[in-house]
Amino acid sequence: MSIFQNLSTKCIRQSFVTCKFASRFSTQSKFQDTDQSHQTHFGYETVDENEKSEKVHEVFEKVASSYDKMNDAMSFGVHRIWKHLFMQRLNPPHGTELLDVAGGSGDIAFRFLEYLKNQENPDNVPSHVTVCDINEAMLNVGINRAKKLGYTDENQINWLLGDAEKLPIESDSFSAYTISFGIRNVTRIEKALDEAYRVLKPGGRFMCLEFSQVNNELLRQMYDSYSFTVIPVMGQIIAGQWKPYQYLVESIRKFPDQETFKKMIEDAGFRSVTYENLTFGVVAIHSGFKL
Amino acid sequence: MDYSPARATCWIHLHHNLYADSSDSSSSKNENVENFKSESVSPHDHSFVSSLSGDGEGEQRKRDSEYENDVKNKILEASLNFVAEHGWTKAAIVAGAQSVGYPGVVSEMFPLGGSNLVLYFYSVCNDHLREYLEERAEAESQDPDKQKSVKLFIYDAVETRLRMIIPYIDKWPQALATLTLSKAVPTALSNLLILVDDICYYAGDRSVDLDWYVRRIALAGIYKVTELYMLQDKSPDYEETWKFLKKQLDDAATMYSRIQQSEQASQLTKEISIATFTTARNILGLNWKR
Repeated sequence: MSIFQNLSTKCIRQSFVTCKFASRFSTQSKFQDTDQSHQTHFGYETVDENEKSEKVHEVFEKVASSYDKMNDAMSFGVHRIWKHLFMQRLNPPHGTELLDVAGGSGDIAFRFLEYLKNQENPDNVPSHVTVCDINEAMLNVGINRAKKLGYTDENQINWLLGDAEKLPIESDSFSAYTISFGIRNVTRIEKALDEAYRVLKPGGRFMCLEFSQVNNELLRQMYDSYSFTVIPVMGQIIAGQWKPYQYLVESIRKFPDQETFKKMIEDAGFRSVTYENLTFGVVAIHSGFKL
Repeated sequence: MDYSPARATCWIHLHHNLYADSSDSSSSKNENVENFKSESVSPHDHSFVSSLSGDGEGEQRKRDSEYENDVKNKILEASLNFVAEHGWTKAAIVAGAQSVGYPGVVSEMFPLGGSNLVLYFYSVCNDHLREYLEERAEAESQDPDKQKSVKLFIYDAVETRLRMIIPYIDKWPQALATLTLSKAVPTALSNLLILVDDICYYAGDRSVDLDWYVRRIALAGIYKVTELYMLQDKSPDYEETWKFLKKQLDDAATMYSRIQQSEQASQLTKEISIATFTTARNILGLNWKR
């Protein structure tokens, strides 16, 4: 009991800090007044656009070391199933050149390589994945895991420090672009989508795994109370961090719902755009093609 | 019958123009067909095509979906060249996409994989048959000397259609198997109904009575049975198959005349046919208009 009291006092104190901190980092201006075009959300806070990226950077630096542990704890391990399904839906054939953006931890990249390893490859067609992340701490998490898993071949996987809104990559150079639990943290989502379109070859596929909106009213209430009361507490206990997880649950609520995001993907030029809800819409997989 | 396998293949390659033509056409028949076709390629486009309005945005969307369908058809068209090697599979679509300069991942645009390829082939063949029957019906109407009996017309139509499968006969059992996947069934069924309906229509059946149903169901049965017969037929130029087809049609005609003699049996047959047809139509969710 006392630990919870303790935590809740801490929470109140911290949420003040978060306000101040977050007032500089808010996200999508698109859904707000156009006059505030340089403002964006950082969780529930409204902040300047350039501050959001700093803030997000700070968040991920803090959580990098406990990233895996926290994901498992928060989602009861279900995030592994989501990522697995995501790879199933991508269903990459041999020869795929994948760009995984905001994938520092390597979660998607390793699944991609694993998936291809399990497919017959009589002609030995090589495939490749480039992991791009804006945060060096997250990239280091992935690089270390790659060493442990034995994925050290440069022809198979490489790591790139870069911003999803301004990819340091030539146009028309990848056949697939994935972003998993990453696009929510990007300041200008439209820019990231434009960049995705630019770097893909014609016929290339964009795929995004992201938290979305639960449509069932009852489930949503349960989900919300779980997110707001349990997740930050868990963050405090397991990772010793409250704010980043407070930010996490808030940013999920600020992210556009399935249909709105689908429209945004179409506006970037993608075709055959579809989405699929997983776990009642807690997360959704969006897919589109550059034709 | 001078309809050779080579000609069948070349008909298949003609289909691009045919797509363009039929989308411009305003006749109710072609509109109907166009809707089915877009459904066979992408289920999402169906409501889309029918909800098009004349405004600028609608036009734009129409152009977009046409462009999208063109790309899809181009990929599937190219994939047919790889059926002999890979069968009716996703691998064939991957190879086909790559052969026209797209990366293999684009194959996931076809959610049913190999079934999408079969359905595409089926509807393209139906288009070719329709064009062929149209020409024939017109030629016959202009020159009474060329006129054949309805039975002969149907026989010729079914043979023509079955010959289109010959280039793919080795892999056709697999194609039939993929059509039984639950998600492919509605389109496969609509393809079959369109096929028999086209044949009946051009054979001169404009009936509005209950025989309409009887004829189509009977013909669908004969077509499918003959198709299966053909798979194991090793005779030169599938002679046995055509004999089998002829016999089926003769039997059906005899049966039909006998049924008509007995009022009770005739009523029952009609009712069963209507029930079958309505069920099929409801599975498809179609408004059947002609």
